[in-house]
Order: sequence, then C-alpha cells, then structure tokens
Amino acid sequence: MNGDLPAAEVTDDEWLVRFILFSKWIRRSDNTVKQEAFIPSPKNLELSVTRRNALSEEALWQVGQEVADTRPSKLYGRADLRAFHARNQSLQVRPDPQPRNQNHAVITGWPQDDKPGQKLIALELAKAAHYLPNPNPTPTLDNMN
Amino acid sequence: MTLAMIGQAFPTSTASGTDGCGESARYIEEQIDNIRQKDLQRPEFYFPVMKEVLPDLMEVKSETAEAGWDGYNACAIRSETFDRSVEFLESLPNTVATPTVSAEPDGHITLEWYRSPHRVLSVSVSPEGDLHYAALIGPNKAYGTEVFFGESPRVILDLIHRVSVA
Repeated sequence: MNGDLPAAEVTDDEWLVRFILFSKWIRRSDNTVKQEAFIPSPKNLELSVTRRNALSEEALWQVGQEVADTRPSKLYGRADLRAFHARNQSLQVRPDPQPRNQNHAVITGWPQDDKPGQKLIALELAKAAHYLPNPNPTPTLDNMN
Repeated sequence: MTLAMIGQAFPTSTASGTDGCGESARYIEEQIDNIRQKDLQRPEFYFPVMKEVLPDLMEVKSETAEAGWDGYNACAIRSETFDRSVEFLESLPNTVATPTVSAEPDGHITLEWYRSPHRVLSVSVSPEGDLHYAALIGPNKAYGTEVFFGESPRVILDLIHRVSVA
C-alpha cells in the first residue's frame, strides 16, 4: 500500500502518533494532552502507537478513524511525539505491524509494578507531545442510521 | 423583609437596652441562625471541592463503565474506585484548587492539578484506596504512593500547593 513503511527499525527522529479516543484525556484549556493518554495497557505493559513518517495526513487520520470504528469510539484527535522522547525515558520502541495497521508500533520497557514510575514517564511524554484535534470528526458507528 | 422594615418594626433604643433594641438584636440573631442551619444541611458546605468535581466524576464513571472505553484495552472503572475517589475528594480542604477528573487504562480514576506542562500533579486513585502520584514542578519531579486512610496525605497537599502557586 502507498505510504506504508516496511517493518524496519524505528529511528529516533521518527514521529509516533497516539490516537485519542477519550475526551477527558485532552485539556480544553490549552489543547494539550494529559498523561493518561500515555499510560501503557495493563494487559501487557505496552503502549500502542502508529508510525507517521510515510503516511499523508489524510491517510494517517484514516488509520485513526479505523481504530475508532472498531470499538466503536469517537476519534477526538491525536498526540504526536518523536521516538527519541520515549527512548530518553529508557523505553523501547519497536515495529509491530498489524493486519489493519501496517504502521503499528509499540512502546515497551515500562517499569513493572511501579505505577508512580509509569505516571512520571507518562507525564514527560505528554509534555513532549503535540496535540492535534481531528479536523474531520465523524459520527460513531453506533449512531449511524 | 428589608433592613428599613426591620428598623420600623423594631425601633432602635439607647445603650441601656430597652425592649426595642433587644428585640431587634434577637430577631437578627434568629435570622442568622436560620441561615446557618440551612447551610449546615448542604453537603457542598462541607465538601466544596467535591461539589465542583462531582459532575465530571459522574461523567467519567458513566463513560468508563465498560472495558475498552479508551479505544484500546482499558479496564472498566469499578464502583470501589469511584467510592475511594469520592472519599479522597471529601477529605480535601476547601483551600485547594479544584482538580480535573479523568481515568487510566488500568481502571484508576485520576485527579489532575495543572498550571502548565511543567507544573502538573496527577493523582491516581485505586479501588484499594492507594493514591499513586507523579508531579512535574519546573525542573523538579516527585512521585510515589500514599495509602488513603481518610485524611488527605500531607505530601499530596504539599504538591497541590506547589503546583498551584504562581
């Protein structure tokens, strides 16, 4: 598919995208994203992201909308940050292509059994991230028809 | 009833304390007591922070009732977590700033005090009553866990103050 990266190693300068599907993760006061958006999954201590580099803006938002549609949820926006921000927190970033998202990656290496440590790292990632609201919000699947 | 009407009904008197002055004072004192009694019956009189936060807390509870609420693998928020959050909010003195409410994928409710990305405190409330916190205060960082026993932990109150000052 055009714009897809092969599953090559994620470089430090590469942009990673975290899609925001919960409204309370966004600060309306200054359009920044909260640390909650960067807390890893409790199931496997991995944080799911999408690699931005070769995708057009339209294609990237489409990926986010497809993530939202599978839930179904509303895509409020996305938070972009470079891979080196995660590595600066002693985390690892590795490709993890999925059938529905060939540009999927995961951020791993979170401190285990250390919720405050995870929160502190998430605060740093949120501080480094740049929030972009969804320019084309669409209805969720459950309120169509 | 206006103060003028009160004055006409209960005319003032000399400092020696005639019936008119005594009745005015008693009437006003009764009115003040009535207002005080009504205030004491309002829960927000005791828990002003709770009053401000409760609508958002209820909204979070509603939106996180099912697993996957974050679009990924989030755990549903349990009623125990909501109850512990209410208890913690009720313990906060009325001198603290009002936090914003959210939730984390592991099922914790979060309260955030925020001035800027460099001055922020986030407190996660677990269903067991653990308060996990992390803060950025300029170049300084703080993080840890306090067990909530019914009183706001001093370390968290201190961090709220440090984040909130100009």
